[in-house]
Amino acid sequence: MKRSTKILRLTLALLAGVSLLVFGCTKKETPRAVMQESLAVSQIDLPELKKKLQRNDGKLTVVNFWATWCDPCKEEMPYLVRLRNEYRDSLELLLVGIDDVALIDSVMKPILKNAGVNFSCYIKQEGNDEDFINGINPEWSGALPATFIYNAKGEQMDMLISEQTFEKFQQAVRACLRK
Amino acid sequence: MKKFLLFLLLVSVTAFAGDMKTLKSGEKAPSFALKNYDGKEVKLENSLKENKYTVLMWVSTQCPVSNAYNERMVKLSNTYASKGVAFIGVNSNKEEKSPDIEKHSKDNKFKFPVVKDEKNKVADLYGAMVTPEIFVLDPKGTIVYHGRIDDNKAEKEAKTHDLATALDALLAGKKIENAETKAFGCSVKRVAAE
Repeated sequence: MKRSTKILRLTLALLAGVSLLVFGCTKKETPRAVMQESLAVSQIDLPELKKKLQRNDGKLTVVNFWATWCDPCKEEMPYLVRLRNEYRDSLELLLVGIDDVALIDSVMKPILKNAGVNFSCYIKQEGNDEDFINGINPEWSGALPATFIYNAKGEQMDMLISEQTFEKFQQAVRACLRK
Repeated sequence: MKKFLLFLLLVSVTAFAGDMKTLKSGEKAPSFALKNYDGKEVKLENSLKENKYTVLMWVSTQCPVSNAYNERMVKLSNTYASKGVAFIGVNSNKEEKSPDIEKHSKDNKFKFPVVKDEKNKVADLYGAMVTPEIFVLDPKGTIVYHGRIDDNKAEKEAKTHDLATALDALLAGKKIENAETKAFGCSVKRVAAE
């Protein structure tokens, strides 16, 4: 083989190797914090909800009960979404609708989407409302909106009734994180 | 010693200042005198003296759940008026003023007064949290039933007619089986704490 051909082959091989290194092997890592999420609404009963409160990641769970007929619920929802985004490492947010399941696609999802919700949400399964209310907290009257904060063991740490500002939500979460 | 007792008193007052407990069956109902939308004063003690039972209903002009019960409130109040039961609506919502309450009452043909509870003072005394919410009082001012009107805001879907059942039991001199009930509704819109 001529020397010049050898040099050319070597150069091409080197270039190919460098190209592979720069463009081929580099994978974009999706940050763990940003995962593919999409809006979904599924039915949930009280035992299933309570199971979700037991966490092994040390995070708080913020559970918000709302309804499509409840204007203050809709007004505070963007604050809860913002809370979830800003405290992603410290808490999980569960939005639980108190509505007819027939309204999921036509009414619930548009409201959730409008509030910036792009994650899994829930709707209370049809059943005894009074038992559900008392099962969450016997001191809860059933008034909406209602927000409950739980520690990672599933112990209820705070109950917020009526519409809240972002600052009030933040204050409550921070107080729970300090405990 | 005096200073210590004063300190204890201060601590106990501040400890309970932020807590609001909802009154339950068996507890004494606080007295009040509030104005109806026509300007006339409605005194609870007068209603207790003049009637066998008094039904206090926390209501709203804007809450879809409270409004779903408008017809039922009218039917119940009309039915039980002749049996010695008085109904008084109470509106504690900060944004709902007397003119709104008057229009709402007239549009829905309420024959019972709907008093305006300014700055939710009476709501705080009762611990009323939701609309609609019912407190039934006996002539001594003791709460004998507390909670919902029935178990479904859609009238045709209601299976238990709790308020009517309670009133029937009371008027018959019988014990109420479920003296405490609950249902989802709108939170009472309170003024911000000062």
